[in-house]
Amino acid sequence: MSQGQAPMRELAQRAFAGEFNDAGYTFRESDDDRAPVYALLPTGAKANRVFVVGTLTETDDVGSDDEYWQGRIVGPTGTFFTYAGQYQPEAAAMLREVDPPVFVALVGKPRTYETDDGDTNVSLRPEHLTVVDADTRNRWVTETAKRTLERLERFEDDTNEYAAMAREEYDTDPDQYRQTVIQALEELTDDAETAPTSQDQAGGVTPSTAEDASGSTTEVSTDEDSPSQSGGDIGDFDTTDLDS
Amino acid sequence: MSNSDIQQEAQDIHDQLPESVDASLDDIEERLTTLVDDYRVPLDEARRSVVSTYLSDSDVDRDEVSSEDGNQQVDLDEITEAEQWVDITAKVADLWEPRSDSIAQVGLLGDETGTIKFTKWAKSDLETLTEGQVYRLGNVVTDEYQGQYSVKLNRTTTIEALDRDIEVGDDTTDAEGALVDIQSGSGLIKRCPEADCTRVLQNGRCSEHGEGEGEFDLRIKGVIDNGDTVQEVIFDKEATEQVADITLSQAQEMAMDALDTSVVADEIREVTLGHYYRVQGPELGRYLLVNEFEQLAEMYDPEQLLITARSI
Repeated sequence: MSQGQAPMRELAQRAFAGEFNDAGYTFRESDDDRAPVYALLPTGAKANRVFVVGTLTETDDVGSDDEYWQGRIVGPTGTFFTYAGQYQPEAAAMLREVDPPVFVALVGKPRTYETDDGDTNVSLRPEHLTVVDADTRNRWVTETAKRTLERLERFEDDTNEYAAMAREEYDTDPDQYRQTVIQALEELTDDAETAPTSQDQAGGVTPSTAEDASGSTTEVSTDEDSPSQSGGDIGDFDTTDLDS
Repeated sequence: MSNSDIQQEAQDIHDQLPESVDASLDDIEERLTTLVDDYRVPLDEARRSVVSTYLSDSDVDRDEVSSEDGNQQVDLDEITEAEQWVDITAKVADLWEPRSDSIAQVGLLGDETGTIKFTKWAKSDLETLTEGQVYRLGNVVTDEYQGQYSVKLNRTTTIEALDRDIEVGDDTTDAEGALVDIQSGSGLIKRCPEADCTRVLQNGRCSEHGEGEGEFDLRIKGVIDNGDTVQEVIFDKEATEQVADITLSQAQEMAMDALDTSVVADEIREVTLGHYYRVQGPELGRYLLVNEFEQLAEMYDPEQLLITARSI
């Protein structure tokens, strides 16, 4: 990746929590000690950095000796977890002083860790954590939907090496992330009270997007009437539960 | 033919001949006078003759010597080399506040192909350029600083106002996305006060002019990222004041109270990071210089995205 002395700045990927929390496989692309570490998004992209906007619902100092702050950032399809300690003083100070719930934007690096029972949890180490507004949050939801759909559209490309890697490393059906996108968008259009006019709603399926404040699980209703829906058998699924 | 015309021409020739040519001003003027007054040679032909005479006496290539009719007339986007003598036709797109008394005027010239900075020195004693007016500028010298080209008007530059308009080419680009980083060197900074030097002082030192008092300035070196492309951007003082809702004097007060300039960058980060912006301006190296910006509140159309999502 590095070009001479000024390596290219890593893009901040957009992904919903439902996808990000599944991105437990990490890799490097060179043997260099300082080579960036990437988390592999299951829709087929590498992520050294992500940008996330959501509702900070809870903060908790989970450190034993030193402060180590945990923040739960709830999006329309699940919850991101972020941790900030002494090496992220600004984010740690923000988590210490903020009064949830509040919309926040986070720029950060994916971090994975193995739990005692062998699961891989994915969290965010913040570079920046700031308070934002509802407009920013809604724009992020649509932007993230757009980028996720772009990844899904490229997923079958023969030249898409990260999609190939995702097929190798994960056993999730990428269609579940398409469902995640639909779920996130439906919440927005419901909010706006632009009653969905599409025939997709004709079956009387009411999207359930309720999330409790702890954001621990999210119920997903699939759209049974969606045209050309190949993954209709996916049905309900739980987002990865990071509580441990 | 007036004496002053000949003196002026002699001065011009003297200025333009390479140092290696041994030609005194008096000598040049005498040769010109002889040709013009005694032999009735038109001034421009006389000039040509005099220059040729000196050059044939030395080993200098004629191309090294500029003359108004010998220069190449160039479009602004063709200026890609420093130290070239060129003629341009351009509109004064913008006039800026000179940073020093040695500069008479500084600003932006534009033609159909783009824009370029110009500097007019006070000692050159040229006529004042008017914003919005199109000029034919003969004999300007190109210059380069950190990959950005400019032209300098000098004593020999001819200025002719033209009775026509130019649609100044749009060399601006735009970027849209979230402000995901504000880099070091942002916030309250000090610049070298030397004329035409805008370097940022590092620990009170200019890399060119050494220790100096420095003049306070505000800027943001940031990164706009939309999940697809990354664009580094620079907000200048005006843009920074607007985007962060802070004035330079407020920033100085904050820094004074805290005995630390970094509080200003912290404040700017707090109010801008993570928000979405559309920015517009010319590109300089890897940076986009923000001339105009707006904070984005609108979404991508969720209905449209839903249709796409359901059709994949």
